[in-house]
Amino acid sequence: MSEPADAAAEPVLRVEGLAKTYATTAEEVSATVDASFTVGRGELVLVMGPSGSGKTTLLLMCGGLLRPSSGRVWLGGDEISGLGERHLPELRLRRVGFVFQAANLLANLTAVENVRIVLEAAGRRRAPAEERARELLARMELERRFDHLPAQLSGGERQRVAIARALANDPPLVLADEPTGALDSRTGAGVMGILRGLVDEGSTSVVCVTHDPRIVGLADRVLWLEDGRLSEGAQPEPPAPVAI
Amino acid sequence: MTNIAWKNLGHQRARFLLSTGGVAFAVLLILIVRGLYDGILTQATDYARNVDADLWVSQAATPDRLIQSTSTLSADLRDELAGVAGVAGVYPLLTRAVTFPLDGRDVDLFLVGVDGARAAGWPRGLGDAAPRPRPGELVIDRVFAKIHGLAPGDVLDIGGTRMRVAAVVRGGNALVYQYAWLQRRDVARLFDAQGLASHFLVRTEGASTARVARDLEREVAGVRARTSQALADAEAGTLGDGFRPMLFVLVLIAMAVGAATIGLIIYTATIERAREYGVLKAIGFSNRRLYTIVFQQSMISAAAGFVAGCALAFGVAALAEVLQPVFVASISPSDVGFAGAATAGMALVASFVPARPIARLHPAEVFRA
Repeated sequence: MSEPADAAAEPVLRVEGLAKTYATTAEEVSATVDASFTVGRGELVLVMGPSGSGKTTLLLMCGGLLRPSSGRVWLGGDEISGLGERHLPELRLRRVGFVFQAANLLANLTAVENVRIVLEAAGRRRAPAEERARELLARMELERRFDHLPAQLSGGERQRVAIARALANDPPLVLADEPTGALDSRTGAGVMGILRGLVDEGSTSVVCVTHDPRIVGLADRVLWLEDGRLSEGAQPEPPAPVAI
Repeated sequence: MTNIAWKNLGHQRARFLLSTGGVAFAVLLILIVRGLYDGILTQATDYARNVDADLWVSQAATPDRLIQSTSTLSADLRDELAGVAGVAGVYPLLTRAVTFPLDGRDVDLFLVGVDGARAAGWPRGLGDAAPRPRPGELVIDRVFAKIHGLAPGDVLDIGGTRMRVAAVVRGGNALVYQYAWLQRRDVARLFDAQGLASHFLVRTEGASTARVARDLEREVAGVRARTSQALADAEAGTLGDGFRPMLFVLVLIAMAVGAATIGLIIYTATIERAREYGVLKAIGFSNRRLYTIVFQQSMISAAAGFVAGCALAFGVAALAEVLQPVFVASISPSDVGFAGAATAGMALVASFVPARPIARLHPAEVFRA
C-alpha cells in the first residue's frame, strides 16, 4: 500500500462544504450536507455508507457531473464547481476517469475500440491511440480479448476494459461507483486489486464508492456517509477482507 | 477517429437498410419526377428549337405553344416577308391537330405541312440526305410509331385519305400529341385550307436575327417573329408552368418521406442507445461530438440511399421507356445534383430529430444503474 498523501503536495481532489439538495413537489431532500475532505496523490479512498446515503451524489459532484447546491470542489488547483457545461466535458475527458457499477461499454465497439475512442476524443491520432489502448488492455491481462465485443466478454473482463478506458488519458483521479457491485466476490476482488495496483504505481488516485465491506482493507482511508453527512475516518468494524 | 456511427449502423443492418430504403425511394421519386419533367420539356420543344430556320413568324397574339397555336395567315404573305431586308428564305408551314381512327380507337396527331422537298421545316431526325415524303406520305414520330406498332410502309386513314408512313423519326413527342410531317398541300386538302399557312419559317442572311425579327414585325402587319430558341423557351415555359406546382409538391413529399424515414429510425436508435450516449457524455464527450455521431449516422444512411436511389432511378427510367414510350425520363447531371442536395437536406433535418433527447440527456443518469 502507498504512503499517505504528502501534506505538502497539492491534493488531487479537495471538497469543501459540499451540499446537494433536491427539490421535490412536497419538500426539499438533502442528499449530501456540508461534506469536506481531500484526496492526496496516490491514495485509494473508499466512500461507504448505507444505500441512499448520498454516496453516488457525492461522487457525481466530485467528477463535475452534478452541480452542487453549495460548497466547492477543486481538481488539482482548479475549482470545477463553478465551471459551465462548455468546459466540464473536456475536464472529465482529460482529468477524471470513471468506472461505473455496470461496465457501460459501447456494445458495438470492441474492447480496443472502447478504450481508443476516449484517446481519440482527447486528440490522439488513431495509430498511437490504438497502441495505447492495447497497452492498457494488456496491463489488464486482456491481450486475448482486444477484438472482442462486450457481449463476448465476462463481467470481470468488461469491468477491466472499463478501467482501461478510465485510465486512457492518464487522469490523476479515477472515480469508481460500486465497481464490484455487479461482480462475484472473486472477480470483484480482482478488479479492486487492479485499482489498488494503479494507486500503488503512484500516478493515480482513486475514490471508490462501495458498500462492500470486504474491500475496506485495500483502502488508504474510508469516508463514512450516512444521512447525507460525511465523517472521515469513522467506519464500522469491517469484516475480514478477501484475499487477492 | 473510430467511427461510432458506422459501427452502430453496421450492427443494426435491418434498421440501416430501412433508412437507406426510405431515402432511396425519395431519391427515386425526385429523379423520376424531375427526369420526366425535363424529358417532356426537351421532347415537346425539340422540333421548335431545332428546326432548320432562324425565325418563326406567326399571327400576332396567338398562343406560344405550337400545338395550341391558332395562328392563321395567308400563304401569300410569303412574298411580303421575303422582301424584308436580311431575309434569305421563307417557308410556309400549315399545322393542324387531327383525330382519326386507328385499330378501333381514335388517336391524335399533330400534322406539320411543309412546303416541298427543299423547304425548311422537316424534322432533323430525317437527316439531310433522306428523301422527303411525297404527296400521300408522312413521317411519324418514333413514340407514336412505338405506341401503335407502326413502321414505314404502313398506311393510316386520316380524314378519309390514305397516308403511307414513309419514315419514323425522333423529335416529335409532345406528350399528349406526337408530330407527323407531310406535304403542306396534303394538310391543306385534308382541312380545306388552300392558300393558308399557320407559320412561316424564315432563314436570315447578312443581318442579325434579332434585327430581322424586329424588321419583320415592323414592316409586315399582324405578325410576330421569334427565334426558334425563343419559341421553344416560350413553349417550355407554358408547359413548365402547368407541371411545376405538381413537381414541387411531389419533390416535397419525397423529401419529407426521406427525412421522416431517416429521422424516425435514427431517433429510435438514439433513444435505444440513450444509455451509451449518457456514458459518452459522462466520460467527456461534448454534446457537439454526440450530435456529430448522430449526423454521421444520418449522412451514411442518406448517402447509401442516394446511391441506391440513383441506380434505381436510371433502371426505372429505362424500363418505363420500354413499357410506356410516351414517358421519356431524361435524368440530367443537374437532376442528380439536385437529388444529392435534397438528400443532404434530408439527412440534416433527420439528424435534428434526435438532437433534443441527446441534449437533455443527463450523464449522471448512467450512475443510477
